[in-house]
Amino acid sequence: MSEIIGIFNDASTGEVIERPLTEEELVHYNLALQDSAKIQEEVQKKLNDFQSAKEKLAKLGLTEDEISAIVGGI
Amino acid sequence: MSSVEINNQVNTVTLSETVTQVEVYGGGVGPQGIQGIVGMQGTQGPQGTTGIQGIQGIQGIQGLQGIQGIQGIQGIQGIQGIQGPQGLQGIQGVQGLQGTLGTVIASTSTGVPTTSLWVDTSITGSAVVPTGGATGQVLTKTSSSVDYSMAWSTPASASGLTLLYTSNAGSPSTSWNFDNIFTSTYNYYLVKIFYSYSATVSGLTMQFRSAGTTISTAGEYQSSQTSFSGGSVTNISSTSNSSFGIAGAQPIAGTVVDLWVNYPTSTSYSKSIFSQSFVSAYVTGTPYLLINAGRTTSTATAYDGLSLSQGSSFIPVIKVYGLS
Repeated sequence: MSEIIGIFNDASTGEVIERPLTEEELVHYNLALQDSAKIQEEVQKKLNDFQSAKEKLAKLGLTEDEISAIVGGI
Repeated sequence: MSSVEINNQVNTVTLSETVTQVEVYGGGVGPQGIQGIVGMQGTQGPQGTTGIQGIQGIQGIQGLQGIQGIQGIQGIQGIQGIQGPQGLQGIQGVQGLQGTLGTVIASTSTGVPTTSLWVDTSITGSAVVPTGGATGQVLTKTSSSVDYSMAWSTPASASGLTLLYTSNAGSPSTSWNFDNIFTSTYNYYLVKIFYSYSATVSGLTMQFRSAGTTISTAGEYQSSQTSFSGGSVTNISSTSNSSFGIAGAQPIAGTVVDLWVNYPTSTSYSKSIFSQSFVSAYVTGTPYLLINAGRTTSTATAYDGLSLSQGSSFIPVIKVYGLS
């Protein structure tokens, strides 16, 4: 994996250090990114399901306003 | 003939040198010969016994003085002497220089004799500021109708938000870490995260830090996240995350995240957070509102900082406020 440069700020001293993340810090960083990716994946799936549901309701003859009244949205 | 020896009547002749003539006479005993020459010195006899000791000789004359020896090592310091008596009083100093000319205060009324007054700056006048007071006190007006009426007083305790820290922008990075922003002075903190730059790829996550170490234990961060985007409302709850998601995907420059952190340094309570962010350019270009409420499962560890991570580089400028 490529090197990740981290910025480390110390509020008590005002010191700012820019250095590559250690192996341990890389583990923390990657776990955070995995969480972020998982959440975005779930959000995107729900968005897709929502859009699919609206399209199916439209095929049943419901208008946009009627669909919004049921599922919310704009 | 040089020499001839004849020993008695023995017909023995010893010739020392060439003999030119030898005469031998027979008959009676002849007269005693002349004494022979001294014989050769004999061998040295054995040493005799030691003689008795001689009498002591007279004392010799005194020898010359020897050369000076090398210097010895320094001796230890002596004890301090007793204090001497007080000195005599010094002589009186010379008279000082003449002071500057005083200010003449003249009467401005017509016909009134001018009276000259002198300002003597060598005398300390009455102070304008009241005496006394304590560190942190302020001057307070004591009477609205009396000029210069004031007294020292203790200001009311500060309330509301107090700005504690502002970070510098710096260079773009995907990992930003802030230590010692939370102390035991406050229990409640507001962290304003302003994006001065973002490569707009992924969402923003937050993890606590303790003594310089990021905490990413699985399940430490429990949260319920609600997002509004594209006319839909999405709710996601998690009890196994290693971080808090506090901004949706593709936060662009100008995005602001409000993050409330409660009791971060407590060793008795879990640390709860509440964040809200509005990203104006989500994947589809649709406005995206993200609200996240969460807490840590552990209680014993005090957190003094936080770490912000994204999959793409960004520059957050954070302001940390303490709430009294």
